[in-house]
Amino acid sequence: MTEPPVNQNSPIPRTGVVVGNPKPASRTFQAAVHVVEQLTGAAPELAIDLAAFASGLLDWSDPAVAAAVEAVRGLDLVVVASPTYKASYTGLLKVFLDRFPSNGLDSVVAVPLMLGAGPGHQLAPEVFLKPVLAELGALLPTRALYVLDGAHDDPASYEAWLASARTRIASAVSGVSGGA
Amino acid sequence: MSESQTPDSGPTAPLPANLRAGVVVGNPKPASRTYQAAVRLAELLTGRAPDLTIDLAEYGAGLLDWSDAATAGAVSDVIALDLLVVASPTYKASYTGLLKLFLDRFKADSLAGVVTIPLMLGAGPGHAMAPEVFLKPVLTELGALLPTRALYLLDSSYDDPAAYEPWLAAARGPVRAALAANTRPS
Repeated sequence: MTEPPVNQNSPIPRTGVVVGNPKPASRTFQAAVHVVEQLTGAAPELAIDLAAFASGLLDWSDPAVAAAVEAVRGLDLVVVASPTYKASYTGLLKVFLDRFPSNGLDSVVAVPLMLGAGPGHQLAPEVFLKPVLAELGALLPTRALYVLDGAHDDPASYEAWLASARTRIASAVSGVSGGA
Repeated sequence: MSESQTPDSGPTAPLPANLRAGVVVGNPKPASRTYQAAVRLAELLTGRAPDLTIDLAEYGAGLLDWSDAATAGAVSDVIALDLLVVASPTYKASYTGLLKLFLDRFKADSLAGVVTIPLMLGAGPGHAMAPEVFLKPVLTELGALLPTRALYLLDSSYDDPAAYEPWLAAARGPVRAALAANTRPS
């Protein structure tokens, strides 16, 4: 039987990204993957690009969406990412998050990430996205991260946040994944 | 200088004769309590049924299709209103993804000149600030006129007129004044 590369007793966290951009393989997606890689040194095991889910997201009995929810719930660390639409996260992301049961992110370390065109919405992930993840019971050990669209592929855009987030994330993930 | 108001723009101003009022409801269940509360609120403010009711439960997959004509038509209809109630149940401490999918279709500042009331329903008192803190800023970003506090109702009291009264007592004047000052040519 093939096992996943890590398990409950492994110090290697199970990581993933959830991306709520209507465009597939968006800058939002690339930024979310980059954050996981910078935090863990490896690509995420799970990548949920909601652009690929189409109308199943509005069908509360859709099995593919239900499976995606369960896969996210099995992670130790998830980056939840959205572009900034109308000053907040996208409806696409929220219809997915609405599918989680109460406390559905219990014991999952989550990083709220939003991209936007200008500096004016820098607080949006902290003020709007993080409370939704908190309601789902996620562990949120860091500030939310906001990255300018135009600088999403510049490693410097992430450095200041990473410098303060690495230790907090590692500590929280160690706690939930049972690792040393 | 003393404060002054013109007779037709104050809190007791008559509603504009050609007022167009509507509701947008982001509950996945059709004809939900959220829907009934939004219609009731519009009726209480204007004295008659709303001219436009958008129950997003009926729109289905078109909301995820950025070229969908029915959704585009609904957006155009909402933009043309004078008074709008935007209503959602509380999901995960905020408005629903269903509602936000629809609001994401509006162009920048496209609710400019629309007097808008944010309304949310929820199971308990703990999320009473959600419409003010989460829904109202989205409507602000769309340029809506927001002359009142947002309104939060308990699911269980959506059909109790008394649940609306304290809010209405404070909101009627500002809503009428905003409408009177903002009537656009028909």
